[in-house]
Amino acid sequence: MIEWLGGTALAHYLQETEWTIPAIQSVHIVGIVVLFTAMLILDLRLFGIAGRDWSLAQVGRLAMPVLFPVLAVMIVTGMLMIFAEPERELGSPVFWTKMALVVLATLLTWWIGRQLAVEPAHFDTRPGLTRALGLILALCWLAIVFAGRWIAYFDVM
Amino acid sequence: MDVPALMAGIEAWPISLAIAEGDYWFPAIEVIHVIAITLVVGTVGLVDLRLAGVIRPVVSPLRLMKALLPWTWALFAVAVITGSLMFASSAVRYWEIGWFKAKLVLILLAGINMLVFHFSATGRAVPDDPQVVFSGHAKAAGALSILLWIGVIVCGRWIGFS
Repeated sequence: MIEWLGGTALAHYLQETEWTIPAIQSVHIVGIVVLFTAMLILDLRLFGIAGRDWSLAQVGRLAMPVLFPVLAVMIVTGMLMIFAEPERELGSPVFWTKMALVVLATLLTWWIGRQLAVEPAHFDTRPGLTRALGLILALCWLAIVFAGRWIAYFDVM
Repeated sequence: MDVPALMAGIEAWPISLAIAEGDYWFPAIEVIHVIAITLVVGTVGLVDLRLAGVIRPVVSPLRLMKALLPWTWALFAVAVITGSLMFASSAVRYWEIGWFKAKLVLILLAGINMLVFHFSATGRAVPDDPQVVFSGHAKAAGALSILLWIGVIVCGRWIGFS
């Protein structure tokens, strides 16, 4: 699998052009900006630290629509990076840890959005659950960015 | 002023040497820098998008700014500190990279753009009206700001490849 990916015309193209990888990574980071910020404002509201002028459902309506379109951008740019250096990504435990966390964080975020859509006041009466979710979600997204940057350093250590 | 000598001097600081020589210091600082800069751009970007009219006018711009901009400043401080530490670890080399200087210029321009807006008529009395739609200078300032910050990110990523 890793050998096949590395031998494709796309892989050769990405390796031979100097500007493609930084350009793809720049798009990937702008994706993180959007996703991470949506998660930050959701999280700050879950904790009640900021944004108390708005209900959780209102903040959810602002933050949630971002999740899946941006994830699509992340997956496409992420896959291009895998094509360029399949061994560094697919052969790395850091990469697979990141993928597991992405699945967990996405499901959790989607579930929160769904609960808010079905019953806007769902979390208002459950402060303990709300804070626990906020903490788990924040740790997940932080760990994802952490792992993403760490992929680049893992093999040199 | 002898800039190369100054850079060599910075690089010789104990903290610079520690970061350059340690296995984990640089990546750890870089991760914090990435987290800080993405949230700086994201929080200021939301305000920018509201000014530029990209976000539907359902949120009061004044309240949006009050809720987000203190976070922007705190995270910007984190980004500046971590960025300075990374710079210090290899100051001579970074100073020779065009993308690095471009990044500093773009941050400076974003700051000037913000100051100009802050002292403009709209900036001095930001409306607390969820429905308000901006035009003219305020709209342009928002659009320019988001473009400058995306430029900062692009330059930052290119520094790593220089």
